[in-house]
Amino acid sequence: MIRFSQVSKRYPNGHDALNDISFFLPKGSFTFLTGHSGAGKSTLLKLITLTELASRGQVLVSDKNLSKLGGNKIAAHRRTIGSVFQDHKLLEDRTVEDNVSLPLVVAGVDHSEIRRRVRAALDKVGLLNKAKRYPITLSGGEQQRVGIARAVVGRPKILLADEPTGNLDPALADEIMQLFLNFNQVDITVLIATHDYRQIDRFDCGILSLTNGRLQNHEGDNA
Amino acid sequence: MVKVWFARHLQVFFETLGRLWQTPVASMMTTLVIAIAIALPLVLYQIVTSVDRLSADWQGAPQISVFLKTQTENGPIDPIESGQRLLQNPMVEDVQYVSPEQGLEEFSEMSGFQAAIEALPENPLPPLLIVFPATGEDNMASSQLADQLASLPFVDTAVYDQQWLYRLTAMVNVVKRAVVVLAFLMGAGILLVISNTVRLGITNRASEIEIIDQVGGTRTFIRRPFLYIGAIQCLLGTLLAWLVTGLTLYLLENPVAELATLYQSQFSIGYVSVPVVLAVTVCVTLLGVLAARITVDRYLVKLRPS
Ligand SMILES: Nc1ncnc2c1ncn2[C@@H]1O[C@H](COP(=O)(O)OP(=O)(O)O)[C@@H](O)[C@H]1O
Ligand SMILES: [Mg+2]
Repeated sequence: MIRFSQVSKRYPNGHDALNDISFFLPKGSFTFLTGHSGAGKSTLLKLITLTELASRGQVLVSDKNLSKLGGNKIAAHRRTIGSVFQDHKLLEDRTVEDNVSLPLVVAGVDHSEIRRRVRAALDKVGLLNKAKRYPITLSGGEQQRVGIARAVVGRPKILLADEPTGNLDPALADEIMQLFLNFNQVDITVLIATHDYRQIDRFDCGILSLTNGRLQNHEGDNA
Repeated sequence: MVKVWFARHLQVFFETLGRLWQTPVASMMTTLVIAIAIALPLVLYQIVTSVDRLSADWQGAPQISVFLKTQTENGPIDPIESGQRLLQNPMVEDVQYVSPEQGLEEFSEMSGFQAAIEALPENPLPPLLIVFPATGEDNMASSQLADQLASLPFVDTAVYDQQWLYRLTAMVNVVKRAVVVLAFLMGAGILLVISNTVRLGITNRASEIEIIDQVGGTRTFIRRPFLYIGAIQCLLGTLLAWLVTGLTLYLLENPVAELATLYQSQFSIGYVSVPVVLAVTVCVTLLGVLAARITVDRYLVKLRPS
């Protein structure tokens, strides 16, 4: 599903964020991406969403070479990925349901179909009763669940999360992780960046560990 | 899919209207600036084209009025014989004699001063030869011929009648050129105003744009609301411009009619024609879309992965 081959990323300021990274994540796998702050976790996720381009090496997602994509193909590629951010990235001036519907609106989905799928997604994260609320009136955990609903509403093949539990207390963090596990059971490839080792120990799954932009051990690596 | 596309456009249209409504003062200012930028050259254009039409009507065949002396050192002058002599000049096509009596009669008919004229002890008008030059449209040659005729010993003065009309035409041409230049400047002004409005809109919605970009919104999708801002602002500006232009021309109507009566003319400025209204409306709206598009695209370059 996701394959990195000798990928390096150097930012324009000359900083090497990633160095010679190779790994493979099969379809339906559930993987944690760990490492200290500044290790390159966010950068790695950004290479998958094509927010950043690799400086060297190849990133293949669903057998597509990302460096070959341009224009509307980039947008189409992003629609196959659901992203969850540590700071939620919700629109404060839109209701919960309008936030969740955004990926479907940009995909040109029919209005009635949008309503149906938004309700289903909100139901999965347990926020159906708060569809008309504004994000600001929700707790941090609830806002993160809105972010997750938005990430899965478009039925992506890949679910990426960048420190989704970073700002949450342990009980809420467990809840959120459980949500990701549920989605993984419907054959979505899940990759979660976190430095919450408590979570990693709770689950039996693949781990990609980064230190200063280099991969340490690669469990579940077939590359 | 077409239905969804259409619904999306309609939704963006009303969303954009709503956004403009949320900042009424800023939107009104933009609309007003655009309206002025359109109305100013348009009123000038309307005036100048009417004057141009008028001078074309008045043009007629060029003629020179040659007023004769009645007496020289060599004795009295025979106007008919003088006319014959003028005809020998190859530049003169035809000569027509207007006697002082004829002249006075014509004048009293046209001016309405019959009573005053009858009270005159004697006819004050000199004999007149109307010369039709063979110079055609050549204004310079006609004017030179008038000078040449004026220097003849039996001629008092020679006036090239169309001279002032040519001056008017030359002036109209200057103003016409000025209107074109003004229109371009105002067009550039509209471009800048829209660009500025759109840039402000982008700044206010930077986080929204970023999120839409992240969830897979295409360039077209991101661009659309801003193109609507450009189109709607320009359309509103044009509509207001028609109001301003119409009102200005209406206010000019009476004074111009009065002025025209003084010159015994039917001259009126009139209103801007429908094709011009439509053309300007469409062009300005497209200009707004273009300005918005250039501005958004300059911003979108930054969203491209690097
Ligand atoms: N846009 C950027 N320009 C320059 N350097 C960057 C940029 N983004 C991240 N970095 C640097 O790259 C390194 C990895 O960053 P990041 O991927 O955010 O790490 P993590 O998410 O693991 O904390 C850090 O040293 C960071 O300062
Ligand atoms: Mg990070």
